[in-house]
Amino acid sequence: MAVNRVKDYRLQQGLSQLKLATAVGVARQTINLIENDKYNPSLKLCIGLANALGTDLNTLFWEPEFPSETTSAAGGTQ
Amino acid sequence: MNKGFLWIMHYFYRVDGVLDEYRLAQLYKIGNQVAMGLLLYVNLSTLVGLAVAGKVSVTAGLLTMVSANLFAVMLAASYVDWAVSRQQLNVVEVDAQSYAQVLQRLKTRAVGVFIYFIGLMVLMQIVVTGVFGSLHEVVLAFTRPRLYLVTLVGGLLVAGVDYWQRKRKLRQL
Repeated sequence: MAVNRVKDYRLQQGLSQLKLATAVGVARQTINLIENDKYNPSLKLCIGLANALGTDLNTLFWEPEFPSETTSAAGGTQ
Repeated sequence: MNKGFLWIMHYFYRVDGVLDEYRLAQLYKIGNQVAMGLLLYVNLSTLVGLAVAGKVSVTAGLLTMVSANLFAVMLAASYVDWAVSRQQLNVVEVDAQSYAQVLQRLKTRAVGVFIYFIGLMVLMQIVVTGVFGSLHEVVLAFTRPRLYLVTLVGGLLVAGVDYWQRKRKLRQL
């Protein structure tokens, strides 16, 4: 399941939107739109964001499925 | 991305600052809308021009088409301006530390615009007077104070408006 933790990691690093935007090479407006889920960044930009925030794509944009979700998807409840 | 292409995009859409993937995508969208609108409009104006040429006169038809196309260009430019401003694609955001530096750069640019305008006016004067008159008239034109007054006032106005517009788009964070 896709999630968006850009804002969380940015705040963890103590970066402003403008500083992150400058580090990645985009406008602050774009960072704001990404954080508010109003724009889907390209893979290249996602990688740039992950590098700038010192993390990886999975951690930033993906939530692993929980075991219970996998079981119910298979048709059984436990 | 090609630097020349980016320069054209900056110049044509009158945007400053970073042109990242989001801003480029929005500009492409605006450009597509304008292109489709212009294509439709030009087809329509050509039909109307041909009708006027048939009913009234060829000159009237030609004038209709020329004025309609000029109007279309003005409308397209206004739409681009409006669409770019609405999406805030021309806003340049700087932090408090860089603000003074950026403002100084805008002032330097305004001086450049002033000098460029003066050079353009002088060149136009030489070309127009030279083409329609003689060398003597070209020299004579430069002895008239009116030329200098118009050039100075025009240059100040153009440079002032350019500086004011760019400062208006500048945001301090």
